[in-house]
Amino acid sequence: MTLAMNEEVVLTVSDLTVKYGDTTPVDGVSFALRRGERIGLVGESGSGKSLTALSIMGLADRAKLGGTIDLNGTNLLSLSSKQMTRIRGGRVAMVYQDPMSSLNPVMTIGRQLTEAIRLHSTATKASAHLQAIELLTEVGVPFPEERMKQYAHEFSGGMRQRVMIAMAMSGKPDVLIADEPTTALDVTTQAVIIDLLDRLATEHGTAVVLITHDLGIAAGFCESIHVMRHGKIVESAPATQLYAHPENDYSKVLLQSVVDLTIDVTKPIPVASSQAPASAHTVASPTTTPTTSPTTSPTSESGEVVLSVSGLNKTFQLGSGRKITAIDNVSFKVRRGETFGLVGESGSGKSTVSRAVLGLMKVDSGSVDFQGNDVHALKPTALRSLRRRMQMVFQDPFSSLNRRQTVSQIIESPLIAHRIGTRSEREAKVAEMLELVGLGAEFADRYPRTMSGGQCQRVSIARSLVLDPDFMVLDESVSALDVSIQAQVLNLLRELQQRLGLTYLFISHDLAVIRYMADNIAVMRRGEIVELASRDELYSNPQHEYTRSLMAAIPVADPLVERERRKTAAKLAAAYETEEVA
Amino acid sequence: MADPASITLKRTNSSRYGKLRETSWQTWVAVVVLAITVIGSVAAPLIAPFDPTEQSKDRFAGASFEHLFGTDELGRDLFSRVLFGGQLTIFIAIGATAVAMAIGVVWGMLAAFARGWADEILMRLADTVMAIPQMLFALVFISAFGATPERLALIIGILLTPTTARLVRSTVLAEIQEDYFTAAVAYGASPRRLLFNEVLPNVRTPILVQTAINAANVILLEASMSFVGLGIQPPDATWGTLVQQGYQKMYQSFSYVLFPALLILITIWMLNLLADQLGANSKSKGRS
Amino acid sequence: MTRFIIRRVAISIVMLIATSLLVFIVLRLLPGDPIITRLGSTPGVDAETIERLREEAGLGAPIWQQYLSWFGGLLRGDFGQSYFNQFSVNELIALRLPATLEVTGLSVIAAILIAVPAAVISALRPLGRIDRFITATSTIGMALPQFLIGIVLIVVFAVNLKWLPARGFVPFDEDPGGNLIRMILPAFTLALASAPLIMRFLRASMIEVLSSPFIRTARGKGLNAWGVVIGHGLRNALIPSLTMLGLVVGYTLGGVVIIEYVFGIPGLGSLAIDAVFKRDYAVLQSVVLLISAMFIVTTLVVDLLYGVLDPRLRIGARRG
Repeated sequence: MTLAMNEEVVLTVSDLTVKYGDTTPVDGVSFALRRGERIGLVGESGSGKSLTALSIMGLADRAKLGGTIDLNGTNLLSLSSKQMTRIRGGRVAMVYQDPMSSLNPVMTIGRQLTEAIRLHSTATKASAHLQAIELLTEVGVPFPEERMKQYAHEFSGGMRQRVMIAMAMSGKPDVLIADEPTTALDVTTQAVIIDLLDRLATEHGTAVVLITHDLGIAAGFCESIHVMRHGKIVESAPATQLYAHPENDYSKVLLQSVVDLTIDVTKPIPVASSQAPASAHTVASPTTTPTTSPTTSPTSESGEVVLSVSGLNKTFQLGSGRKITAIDNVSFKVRRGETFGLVGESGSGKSTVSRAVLGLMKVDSGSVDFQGNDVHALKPTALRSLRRRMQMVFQDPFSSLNRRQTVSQIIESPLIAHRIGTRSEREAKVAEMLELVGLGAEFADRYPRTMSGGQCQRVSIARSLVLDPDFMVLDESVSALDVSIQAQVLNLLRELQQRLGLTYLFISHDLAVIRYMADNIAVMRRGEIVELASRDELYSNPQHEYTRSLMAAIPVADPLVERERRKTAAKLAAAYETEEVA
Repeated sequence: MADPASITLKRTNSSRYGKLRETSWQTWVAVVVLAITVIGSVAAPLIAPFDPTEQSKDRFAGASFEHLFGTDELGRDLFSRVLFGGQLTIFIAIGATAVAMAIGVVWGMLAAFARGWADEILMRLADTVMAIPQMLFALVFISAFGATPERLALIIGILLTPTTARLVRSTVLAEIQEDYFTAAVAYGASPRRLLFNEVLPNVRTPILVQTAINAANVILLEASMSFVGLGIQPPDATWGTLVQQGYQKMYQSFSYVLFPALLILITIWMLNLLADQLGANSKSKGRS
Repeated sequence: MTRFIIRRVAISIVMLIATSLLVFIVLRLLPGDPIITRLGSTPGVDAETIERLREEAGLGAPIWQQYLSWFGGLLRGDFGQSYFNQFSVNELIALRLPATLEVTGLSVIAAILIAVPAAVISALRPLGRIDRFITATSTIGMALPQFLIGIVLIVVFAVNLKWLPARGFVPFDEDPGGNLIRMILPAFTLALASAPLIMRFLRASMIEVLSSPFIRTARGKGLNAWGVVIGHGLRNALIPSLTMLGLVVGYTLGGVVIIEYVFGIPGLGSLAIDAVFKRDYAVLQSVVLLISAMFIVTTLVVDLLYGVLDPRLRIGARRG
């Protein structure tokens, strides 16, 4: 990766403020970008990073903008919307987070590409068509001629993002803004896409603003990084300096909260003492250093088997007659007090396993034995009563809570469903649960829509614990949370496991998080378990090629290491990406 | 760890009256106007200044203090006729809506929970009934059975059932697929609890909206049928029949046709307005 | 794809049969007998004549036989024989069909021409002044039964302004100008009744589409407002609106019955009403079935069109 040779400044943002009504999501942001330089805007949700990008593009509708955005001598904020339209896509272009929803589903890819090309050149239809094919080749889409006639849903996630990048680069912009370009993609594809951006930007001399919450990715790509929080830039530094010696407290917290492959599994993840200003969301602060230190659970074959899954198979029938094998001969055992990790990317079948384990989904063959009961053979009443001992926490913190119920109603629902306790006993139990998950009593009457993701997830956990279960399935329970909140919730989960003697089935796509949480791990791919090992074995000596590529795909928050890692990862993953077949 | 029994949960009252304060002025207007209409019609025997069948020599009189809406070709007071006509119209509207909701909700819920081929059959059945344009179906039925108010209410109610069923089915299906429903299954809620505590509260509003829409459609259909003479027969009168009679005599007295027509218009309008407001309200509160 | 077409057509056929059963059963549920009811007490008609008429109409046979003979006739293209006059139902239908088709077709086209621009303009600035005005107008429009709209239009344009004739019909081949002039009011009435329905649905669809991420992408390319709203927005929003269009055609087919009555148009609708008054079930069942068939075919076409226009339905998701 070459550093910017030219001192020429392409983009200067000075004191940018964005106001919506009485909130100011972007409050005095300033930074500069030189030709060919890569900078990162890093922050969690609500930091204002995306809004900053949209303001540069002139897409921040109905907002009051202040300050100046100088692009090669033109103040973008002073332009009429007609003038801005001509600049957009031409001198500054953007790549968005979710390529599936960012592409028009009923228009061919080719048409969308040629449309972009013709907007910023005088190309004819025929010549634009040819240019489009060239672009597709450049971004690595195989068989571009045929692909031009296809639609967005016929591409895989990585391929779609390549198309989006092609569209953005078609106008030969001076500045390319990439807003969380890899967040919606599988980990193995992420490296490939970042690599592509790297290559293209170098070849065309395009300056890049990378917006991300992932410090690892930023580390490997950006020369300088601006950390954002609550609409302000709290720290700006060259990447190597930021990672080695962060100055601002928040930056420090952010870096420390990152769960990567090097984090110490015996200690809680260090988190900040308070994550929010004194407005909007008041988070009941969890303890900064939990008093209990979790012991590593034994990895040997001791301990009674709580859950035994053997030979699970499930195939889905699609409307058009096609079949998809969701899970194929899945077997594993989970022992009392341990955390069993199930890791895989999208389509691996891990969600299907979680539902099958709880009897929420029927299986074609195989059995699930929970504490001596065959889950799928039980009659409904017996199953319902067994459910008291096995609970689940879902991925999306908001949709897993009934939006018409208050927090206390949500938490006491399981008690009412099983007719446990009198009204006052239930109230007391709800209070106990709230305290257990670190939420203050004032949350009892709140509705989920007034709460943050982390708070909602705590409520979800509280609801799962209210029946005193032995076993919990955590299905991507932290994947939708910000880095620092994620750390808090993981700490909470470990603390609860210690205190209450719980057994966990922890499901995630993030190998680093799994490493932190799980004692034994199964790696899944396309419905099969490709590797099953204890934590130490798996991470020191991964056997299967897929496991190795997954591990290589995890970004590391260290600039020098990260750049090397990415190159290797990209190579490994490229092989897997093109292999994806219907 | 603190003693749980000593922790008191703070109760706030904001949620109880908050909903009332959030209601828009349009909703209030609609509710008030509809209330006046319904009460006025129900109380017709008490309010009407004249007996609607009482004839007089004062034919085709214009609006006046004595005859608020004027008189018709037989000298009958139009205001009284409209009031009593309203009674019958409202009766049919409520009856038909009740039929449509009672059958439609059950039908839709059954289909949504059953899934698979049962769902398919139930929905195809709905499609079949919907395939016959409503007006025609009503005509066919009425021609077979004759049009008494009860029969009219029944048939129009049945006509509106399939659309209601479809709506209920799709809203219930959407809720069933949400995580919170799966979560409730996962903590062992019984089917009864799932239905009443999880699903119903969340589909309440769309169902209410559909009720208002159904009521509006009933009045529309009934008025149309009576207008062509295939609905309620004299001497019974609904607003529809009044419009029909008034239309014949339009040159002699414009108010004859005007007032019942206005009432039809206003009632349906208010019902649609209510449906709109209820629907819009729930959308903004739904997701976070 | 062909599987989809075949399946869909098969369903339509089944529905047609089911509908015919439904119509037939409902009509025959009436206790008593149409001919007896109609002519029973007419002086000069004795029992023998009634019996003979009943025989001719096939009313003596058991119900299922009557159904099969009717249905069999339909398959051959024979819609039956009117009970009370000499015309065969085929002849009656042939006479009346063109008028109904014309009114329905014209009104649907007019409704689309009114509704689409209104929806687009409304969706551009939701809850803005123009939007609120259009929405309020359409709410009132929806509250008017078709016949009321007809009456109002007649009063304004025919009675007061005397610009257009209030009633009547002239076949197109006889006098195209006269035909069209007389079509204006009835077609417009139906259009005004159904335009609000299309408008509201399309507006909601457009608002949803315009807030989708891919619209942001289109703008991000530097596409101008027109290109974004029409090229990406409307194009995507129209597809789900097709279903609404199908429903609106059904609604119009129902309304055509009333409107033909109000405007004195000799179409299938007024034929049906006459048949109801006369209890001529032979005519009524065939006409109702025909109109229902028109609706079923419309929904079939809409569904197939949907499959053609929405690429997501066309091919199973092939990834790679």
